[in-house]
Amino acid sequence: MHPAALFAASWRQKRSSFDAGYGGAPPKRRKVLNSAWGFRNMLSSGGLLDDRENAASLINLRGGAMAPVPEPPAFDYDHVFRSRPAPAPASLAAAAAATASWGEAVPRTAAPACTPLGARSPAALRASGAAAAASPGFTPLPAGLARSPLAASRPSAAATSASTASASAAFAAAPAFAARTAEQRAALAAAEHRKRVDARATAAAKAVARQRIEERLRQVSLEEARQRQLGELAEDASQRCRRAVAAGEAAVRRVEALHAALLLCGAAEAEAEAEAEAQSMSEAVAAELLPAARAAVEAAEEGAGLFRVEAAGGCEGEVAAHEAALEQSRTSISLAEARLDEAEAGLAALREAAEAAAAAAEQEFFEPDADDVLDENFPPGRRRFEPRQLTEAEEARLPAPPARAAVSEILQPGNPAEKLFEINNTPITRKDIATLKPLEWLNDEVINCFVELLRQHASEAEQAGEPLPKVHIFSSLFYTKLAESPEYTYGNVRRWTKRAKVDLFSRDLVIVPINQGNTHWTLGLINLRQKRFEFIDSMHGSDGGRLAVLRRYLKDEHQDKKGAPLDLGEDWVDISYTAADGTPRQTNGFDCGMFMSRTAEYLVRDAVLDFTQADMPNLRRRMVFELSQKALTD
Amino acid sequence: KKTTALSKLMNAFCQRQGMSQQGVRFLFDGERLNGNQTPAEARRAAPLELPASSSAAPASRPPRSLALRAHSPSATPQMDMEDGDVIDVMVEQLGGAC
Repeated sequence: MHPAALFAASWRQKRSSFDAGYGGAPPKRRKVLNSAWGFRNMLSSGGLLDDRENAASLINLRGGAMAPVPEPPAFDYDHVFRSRPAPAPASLAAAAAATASWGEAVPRTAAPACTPLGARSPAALRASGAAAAASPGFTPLPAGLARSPLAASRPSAAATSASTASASAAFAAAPAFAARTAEQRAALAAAEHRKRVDARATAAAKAVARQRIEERLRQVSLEEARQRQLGELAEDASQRCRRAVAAGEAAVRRVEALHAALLLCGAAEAEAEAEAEAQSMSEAVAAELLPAARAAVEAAEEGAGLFRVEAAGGCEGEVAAHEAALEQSRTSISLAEARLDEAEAGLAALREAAEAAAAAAEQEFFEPDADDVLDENFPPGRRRFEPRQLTEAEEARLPAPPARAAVSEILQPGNPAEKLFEINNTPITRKDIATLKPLEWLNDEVINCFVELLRQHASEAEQAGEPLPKVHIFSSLFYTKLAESPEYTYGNVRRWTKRAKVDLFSRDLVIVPINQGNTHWTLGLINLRQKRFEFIDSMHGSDGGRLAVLRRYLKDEHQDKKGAPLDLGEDWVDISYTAADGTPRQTNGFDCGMFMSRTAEYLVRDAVLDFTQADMPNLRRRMVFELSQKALTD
Repeated sequence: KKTTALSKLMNAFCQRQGMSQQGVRFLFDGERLNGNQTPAEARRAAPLELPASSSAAPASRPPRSLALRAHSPSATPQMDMEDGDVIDVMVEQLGGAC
């Protein structure tokens, strides 16, 4: 043990025993001190001094006055040492702890002054004394010792003697009361000093605690860092594990796929095997069946042979039957042929009869070689027209006088000048219509109104595209104006066709009603289609040069309208029909107007002129009807 | 005149000739004239004058035809009728065979 430490420990032990109040035997090696202590013990046991009084008296003895307590050197270990409470039994433990810490720290401060223990040089002693003086908890006694001039030049023995001397002097000289106050003052100062020391100790303890806390914190942070590092490592490991797991799963999948493929392969193999097996089985079956099939074929052939034989047998019978039937049919055919011949003969007879009848029928209507007549001499007209009888309703239906009086009523006598109706500016008076009564001569008004109806009919048929000849019908006044005013004057009628907006040379027929001497009505006809000038007279009279007038007029008209002469030449012929031609003939002296107008109507209708005198009463009434209706009727 | 009904002319003619109006027919270029028509309607504008003398009118018998001649110095050119246009006057025709 370090000598200083040893010294302190012994001192402490001694002090503790002293504080505890029993004066034990002083340590052997410190005789000087022991003596002092012994002295003190004696004082205290004598009741003269307590501890403090003792100390204060000691000081007073040395200096003669209260010296201020010197500040302990700024030494960490001092206050630790001095902070021990004086009388507390617990202070033992605290002192031990402080000694431990002090013991550690001693070598730093005391080492330079340390010398080997055995040397005991005065310097070393001094140094140890200084160290003892500087040590905390030390009563001012050592300090006083250190300051004394004697102690500076002498070793510890001298100091001891000095202190002993001063103590004995104080004991002898100082009055007790003064000593006591001084002692009290010194105790107060010591208490104050202790308080300060305690505060320092507390701060030091706090600093130590802070240091420890810091250290602990440092350790904690270090621990945390380590934990963090460990966590990172763990995470890394887990990621690696995850990757490994994924890889493993992929591997597993691959393995599964391979397994499936293997299964498929196995299935295919199994199938192939099954197929092969089936093939072999079927081959076996076929091998088994083949003989049976051959047997069946043979049987069939055999059967067919038998059948053939049978069929041959049957056919012969059939052939015989057929031949018989054929013979029968041949005979019937010959019979039928015979009948056919008979029928043909009958048919020929019938045909002849029919032809004869037809010829007879034709002969009834036409003269012999009627075709030639129609072509050469007969007036144009190829159809049959049967003018119907007016019905009673129609007869009665002509109401509404004057315009639409019934035929009978119209024909009744009345005011001759009464205008019944008007057709194209031509008024029909009762006098005019009266000319249609039986036995009456027709006048020009009636005829020209009928001509107007014919014009309407022809133009309507032409517009409707009916296959009728294209006609132009002049008024009855035309011929008179042309030929009898008072002689042939083309200029009188030059503008008539222009006014009527008609080109005669585009017509098939030009119908010219002719009034002969105000006593007879005849019909002139310019047949441009057949190149004929025709004269149709119900009395079958001579044309009297009228065809020549028409011929001349046609030439003049052509010259006037076409600006060129018309060569009628030999082609154009004049025809005046006679009784031999079969044109209708009147058998009385008043119906020529009717014959003339009806001839014109038939020509417009392209009808064969086959009406007779017997039709005249009906045709007269029809004309009244038609004029009142302002239209032709069927 | 343009707007004078032809019936006036017809009446005048018949009176002068001593004929019944029902016994005559007035025609222009072959077309019958109505007494209610006017020269304008008949597409003629010139006033008509009766011929001073009707040569074709024997006193004893009515003529087969007469002609009314238009004498108008003021006939308008756009009208159909020109100076000298003739209205034919025809007498009644009859026939039945003798």
